[in-house]
Amino acid sequence: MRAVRLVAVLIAALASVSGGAEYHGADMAALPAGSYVPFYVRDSVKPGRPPAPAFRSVAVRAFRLDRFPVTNAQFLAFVRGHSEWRRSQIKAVFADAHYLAHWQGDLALRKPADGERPVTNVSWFAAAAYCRANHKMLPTTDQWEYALANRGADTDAIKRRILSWYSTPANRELPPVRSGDVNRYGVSGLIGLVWEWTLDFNSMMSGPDLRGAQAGAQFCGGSSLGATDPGDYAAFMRYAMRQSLKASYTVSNLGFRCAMP
Amino acid sequence: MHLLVRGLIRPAAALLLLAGAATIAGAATRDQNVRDPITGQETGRLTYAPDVPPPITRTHATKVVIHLEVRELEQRLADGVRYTFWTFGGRVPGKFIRIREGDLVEFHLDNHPDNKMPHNIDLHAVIGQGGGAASSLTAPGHSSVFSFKALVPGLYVYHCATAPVAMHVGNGMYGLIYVQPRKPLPAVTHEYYVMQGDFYTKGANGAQGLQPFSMEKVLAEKPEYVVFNGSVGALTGANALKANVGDTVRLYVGNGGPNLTSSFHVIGQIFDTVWPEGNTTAPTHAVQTTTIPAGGAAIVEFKINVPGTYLLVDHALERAFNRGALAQLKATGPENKLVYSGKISDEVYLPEGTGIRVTEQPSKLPAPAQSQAERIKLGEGIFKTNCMACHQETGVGVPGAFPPLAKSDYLNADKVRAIKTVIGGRQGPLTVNGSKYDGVMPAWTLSDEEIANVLTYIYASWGNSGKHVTPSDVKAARSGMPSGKP
Amino acid sequence: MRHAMRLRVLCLALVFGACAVASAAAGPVTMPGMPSLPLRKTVPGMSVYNISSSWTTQAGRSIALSSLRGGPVVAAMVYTHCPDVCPLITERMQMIEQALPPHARDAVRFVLVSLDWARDSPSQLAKFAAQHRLDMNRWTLLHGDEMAVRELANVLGVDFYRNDSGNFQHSIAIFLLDRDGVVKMQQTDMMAPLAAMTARIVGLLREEKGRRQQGRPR
Repeated sequence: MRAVRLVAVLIAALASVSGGAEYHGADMAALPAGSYVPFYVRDSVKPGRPPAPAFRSVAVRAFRLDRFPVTNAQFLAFVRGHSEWRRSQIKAVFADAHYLAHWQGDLALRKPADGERPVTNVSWFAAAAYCRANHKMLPTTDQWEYALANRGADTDAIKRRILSWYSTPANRELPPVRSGDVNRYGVSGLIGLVWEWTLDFNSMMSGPDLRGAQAGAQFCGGSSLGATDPGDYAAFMRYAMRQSLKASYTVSNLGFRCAMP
Repeated sequence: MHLLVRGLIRPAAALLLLAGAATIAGAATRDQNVRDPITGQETGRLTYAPDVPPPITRTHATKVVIHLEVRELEQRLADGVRYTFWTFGGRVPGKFIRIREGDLVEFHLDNHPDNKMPHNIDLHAVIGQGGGAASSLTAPGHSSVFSFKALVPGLYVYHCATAPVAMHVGNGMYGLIYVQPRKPLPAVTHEYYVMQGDFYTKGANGAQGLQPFSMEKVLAEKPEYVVFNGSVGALTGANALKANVGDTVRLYVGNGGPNLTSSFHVIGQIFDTVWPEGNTTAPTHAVQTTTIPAGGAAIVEFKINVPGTYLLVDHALERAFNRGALAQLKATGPENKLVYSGKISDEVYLPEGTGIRVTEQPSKLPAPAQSQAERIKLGEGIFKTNCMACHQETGVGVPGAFPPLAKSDYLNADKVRAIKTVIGGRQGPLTVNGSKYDGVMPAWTLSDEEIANVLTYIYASWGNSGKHVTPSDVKAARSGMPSGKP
Repeated sequence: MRHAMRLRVLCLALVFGACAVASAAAGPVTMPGMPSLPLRKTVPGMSVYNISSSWTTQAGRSIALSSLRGGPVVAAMVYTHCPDVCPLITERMQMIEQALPPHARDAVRFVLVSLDWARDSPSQLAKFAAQHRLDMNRWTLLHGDEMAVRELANVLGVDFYRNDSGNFQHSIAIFLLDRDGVVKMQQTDMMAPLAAMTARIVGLLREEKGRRQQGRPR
């Protein structure tokens, strides 16, 4: 009898070590297949010819997206089961010195209410690992932008709200994730909470100086980039922010959410 | 012939040599500065406006390490108006950087972790990709480092160049970097740092509270505020620049834009020297107003001869007096009445006694009235043009000010006196219809025909006696008035 | 009593056995010609070998990146369908290989990692190696799944964009890692003199030799 109990304890221990995180299928919105015009479009540069005008819409397959950004509480559950992602354990190559700086400790938040706020100060590696542990992936930039495009509704209102968020100083306490507006897809908090990691945040391939397109001579398969709407300041900022990041960076206003096919 | 040619060779050669040297000298600055060896290292001393770091006295190029921190902060834009500024160093304009030509700068752009936005920097003093912007896009909580050699002296703007640039600059991300020339400008008493910028708030000028940035207004180039040094009144009152009589003042003036060009003028002063566009090799002199383009700068100098409050303005005056483009330089010290006396006296100026109103002359004199009715009609026109203003349309006058013409005992009692009053004017105490008046009626330069017409109209109106006045009546009355006065 | 004891031992064996199996699969790739230095227990915080994903070589072997530990590694991320630059990168690495003095050459591993997780199967990589006549004693070509590729690219700082037709735009760089997987040099100019890279490699080897002579485990 004691042996059986011992085995049971051991199996339970093994299970917790392997980090069985909860499956958040219920908290995801289903976005239908569709298309949108991305802010930056690229055309291959053919030698001797100027790039063709590029207002091309991009097709996006149906996918599911977390309704809300990942919270501190959710991330805490993740690092509890994955010690290599704890603040004191994480390798320098996967996150810079500010990783989870806003927490009290490896497994402690500053206050209980922080549990419902979006997790920030996480690197791309940590965000990707979290999504993977939940059998999901970070959304691609196209998926994220498609969700923001909101089926083309309220475009101007969205731009104004984004610009207004840019104007407010960044050191205010973040609101809980469930406080944001819900858009037509059922996705909440794409605006006004935090910047969000995407799977391919660094795929712009035009260098950090985004003033004017670059011919991409220094890149394999170069192309030039054109902005489809030079008056969309909100989008410029968003892409500039992604362009300024490296995967190991942690930023106090940068969080993430996960996606599934 | 032979000798003539020979005679010309030497001076020709000399001329060629001079021309060659001149062209080489212009280009030598850049090449010279590329090659100039670096000795030692120092930390750059940056100052907040309106202060300027002291002149550099070393005579060699050195390595200068500069840290410039970006902070996004809510601050005052005008009384009761707050704005989220994006700043280099915590204030608008950004800190003043002073280096010497040939210096090697190791530049650290530090983006404070409390900021929300990525930022970079383009310094107009930098020769290279993006002026540094390509190497300095920095996420919050991180730092970028790049280095450059200052190849050309001058006063240059620096600004954030992250897309959309108009928003970053429109939120205050600009400042000045001065590359002091090898041969420094002459010493002056005071050096000050002034920078103009336009701001685009969602609310109109004066709308209170925290104002968001307006993308629509920046695209339309319609700012609500145009200010010096980051806010309305940044350099007025207690914050005014100071100088004394006898001082020479040098202003390093920049224009961050993002959109407007400045017509920079100091009211009550003339710029003895202007280094236009921020160059330090070709000054101009005796300038009243100098143009400073967006993303440009100028160095201006003037001497203080007399005390007073000199106003720095953008002479596109609506910006100075309605939007905040106004700063003060308060100069104290002894007066010099020879240069400027101030108001000596205050006098009444009334040539030849009462003022004479010259009536509007019609382009063509109308034909004389052929009938009484016509005279009345013409008179009505003259009355409305000249008399109605005071005596009112119905002749009732203004109690205590202008006597009535309606049923006027003064008027109806004496026709000749009435004619003379119109010809010569009247002043002094007067009683009409039992009320006292003591005003001034001007003399009217009207023809006999016109006076006859208007008086006939008046007599025919508002219960007056209906007397007729003819041009010959007027002529006769005139001849009884040697000086034109009754 | 003995029954319970055996059960305990069995359970413990299960736990530790699992670890043993895992490490056996990731056995070190032997470095020819160089006596191996004892390796540190853990790699430094900035080492690329902190990536734990598994990769398949052109020969079909499944390895972890950490099996590349032990000597300098010259590496790049390319893909075989690349029309111009990737062959250029490969040739340049071959030029570096030839420019090294023979004793150094034998101590260095040359690694190409494919960005093209969809098309660059191990056999495709083997074909590429044959086309370029790569010396397979020194060269290893690796295939990984999408997340493994993204993770490695992000650690190295290789930016790339994969378009709808599955072709790539990617930044160009050749990396030099030390024996512990820390990036010591990154070359982006394919026209720069080879000496910079070869000198650094020789320097790294000299450092390691120095430590060995002093009896210090590295």
